[in-house]
Amino acid sequence: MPYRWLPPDPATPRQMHLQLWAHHSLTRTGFVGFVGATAALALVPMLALLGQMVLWVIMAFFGAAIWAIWAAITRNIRDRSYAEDLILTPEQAHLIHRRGTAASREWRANTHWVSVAVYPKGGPVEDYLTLRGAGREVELGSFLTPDERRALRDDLLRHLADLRGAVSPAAP
Amino acid sequence: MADAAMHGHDHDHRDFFTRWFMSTNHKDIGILYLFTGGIVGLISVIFTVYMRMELMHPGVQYMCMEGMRAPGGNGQTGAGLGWVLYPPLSTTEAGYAADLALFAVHLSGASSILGAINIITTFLNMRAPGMTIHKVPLFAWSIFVTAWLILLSLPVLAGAITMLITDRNFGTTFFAPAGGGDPILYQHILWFFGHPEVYIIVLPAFGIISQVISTFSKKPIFGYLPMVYAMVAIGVLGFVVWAHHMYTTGMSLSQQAYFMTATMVIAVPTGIKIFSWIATMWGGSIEFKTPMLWAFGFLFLFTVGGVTGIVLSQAAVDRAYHDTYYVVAHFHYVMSLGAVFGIFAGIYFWIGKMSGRQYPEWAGKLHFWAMFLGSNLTFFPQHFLGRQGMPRRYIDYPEAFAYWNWFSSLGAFISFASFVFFIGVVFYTLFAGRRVTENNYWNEYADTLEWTLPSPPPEHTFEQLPKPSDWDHSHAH
Repeated sequence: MPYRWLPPDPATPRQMHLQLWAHHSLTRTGFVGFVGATAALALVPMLALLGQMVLWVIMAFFGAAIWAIWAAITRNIRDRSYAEDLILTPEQAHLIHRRGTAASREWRANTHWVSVAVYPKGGPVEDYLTLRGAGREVELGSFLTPDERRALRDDLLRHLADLRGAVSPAAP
Repeated sequence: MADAAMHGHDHDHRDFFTRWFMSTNHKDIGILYLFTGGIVGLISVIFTVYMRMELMHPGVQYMCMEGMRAPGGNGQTGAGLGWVLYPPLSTTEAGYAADLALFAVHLSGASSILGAINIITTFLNMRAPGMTIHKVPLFAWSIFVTAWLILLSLPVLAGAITMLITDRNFGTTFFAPAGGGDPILYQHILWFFGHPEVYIIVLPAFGIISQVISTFSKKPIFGYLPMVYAMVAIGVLGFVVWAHHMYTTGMSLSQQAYFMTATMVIAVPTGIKIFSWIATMWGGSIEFKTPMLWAFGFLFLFTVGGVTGIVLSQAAVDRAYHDTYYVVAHFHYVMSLGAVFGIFAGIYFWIGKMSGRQYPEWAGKLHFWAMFLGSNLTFFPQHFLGRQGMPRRYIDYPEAFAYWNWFSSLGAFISFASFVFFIGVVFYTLFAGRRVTENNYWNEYADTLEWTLPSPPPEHTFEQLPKPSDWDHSHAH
């Protein structure tokens, strides 16, 4: 699933950090493999032109084509780099949205008053997941699949309950 | 809803100009490609019919003799150089026409490369969750391999025609023997592009045929992985056989032997595909709808064209057949009766999905039979003409070749009539065709993602990611 709860940092044991990211079907290894294989195969016919002026003419166009596919995939990865970080402490919920090359957006609210809402229908996506607090409602994980959002909601409710229990008056 | 959301779907309704002349919607751009290709295809078919009118009888009837401005061949590029642009004619032809033609080829090549980059990026980086490489539909795979071939072969063409431009205008002598150059060097570079180009033409048809045959046999495609890697193998092997277009240029016998052997090897993955398509139909419940007729036609006729390709691959045999009508017959069988039949299969398969209206079945079948008759009548006799020794790219011929040329021209007129009829079918379908109400108007074996959508699909296609259950069916890929 493209979300994970990071292991707690010993320096901040009561902080929970959720990371979410959009699905990319091309892995880094696959990207390197594809561009590398394409470039390597493109160089094979260049062997026949070694020592000739023609080599430079053809290489210029090949180089441009290989650069262009590398640039297009890199740009696509960057533009589709949707990521969200939710940092929960007993006192504060802090959400950061990163959307490609756009400036990141942030939301903070008191953890105690944060509520989790799911809209099965009527939202931009199925099982639209939002957090409410500090007078605002913000979305979470809109780029996940509906199944992933449902699972995330259950996780969030459990973790919020843990954090609120940690500052309950009944706690020692 | 949520103020941190980034849903940019709030653009206003677009007017006609914005939608069709400034589109960023892949479906609309695809339709633009189809219509542009159709219009340009119609123009080129009209030129073709004009050539067949000239060639119907011996003697020069219609074409201008002065300066031999219009010898045979449909790829004149407006400058009388043939589509291959061989020097020394292309480097010595006076006037601007050749330079403009070279610029046009540059523009077209750059456009193809950009489109290929788009396809490759989408195929690699934007698949739905769970759709691993080995679960991608075969049509998408065929387009991916095609795009990869474009990416690697078009820059070589760009290099070749750049050198033509510099030889013409800037005093270089890449291809001029007087300056130490070699016109055969151009041929090597050109055909290094030219042979992958023919696989660029036919590979998408392979993908379409796979989708159509599995749908109308009501069976999953036989051997998904071998089909994928056969296409990859055809693509890779297509880069190492170019000089089978140059057997008569004076290459050494070792070179000819190598290219002959390599060319024959391509028949292996191609044969895997043909047998897999047949195996797909074997034991299936075959429905002879129009797309399936085109697919059947493709299977048989592409095979006929393929076997004449094996004949031509033999250097000793090609010594006689090179630049004769036998070659013309071969490549028209694989292209006009192969790739074009594949295109028509795809159009009839997907026109309901694209437009929301379905074609009249009787009209589709009539188009098929007219085109089948016409195109076979056009190109089969050309095998005989080639064997009799009739050269390519001539506007006139001796009386001895008159008989089969007459039949060939008759076939061309029937094919043209079928194409005009097809244009009528398309416009009738788009404006008055029966509206399609189901998402999947074929059957459950049409199981790729487009069949989960309404016809036509909504503007953003998928507002949310498709789930694996939408496309990962147990019986087919």
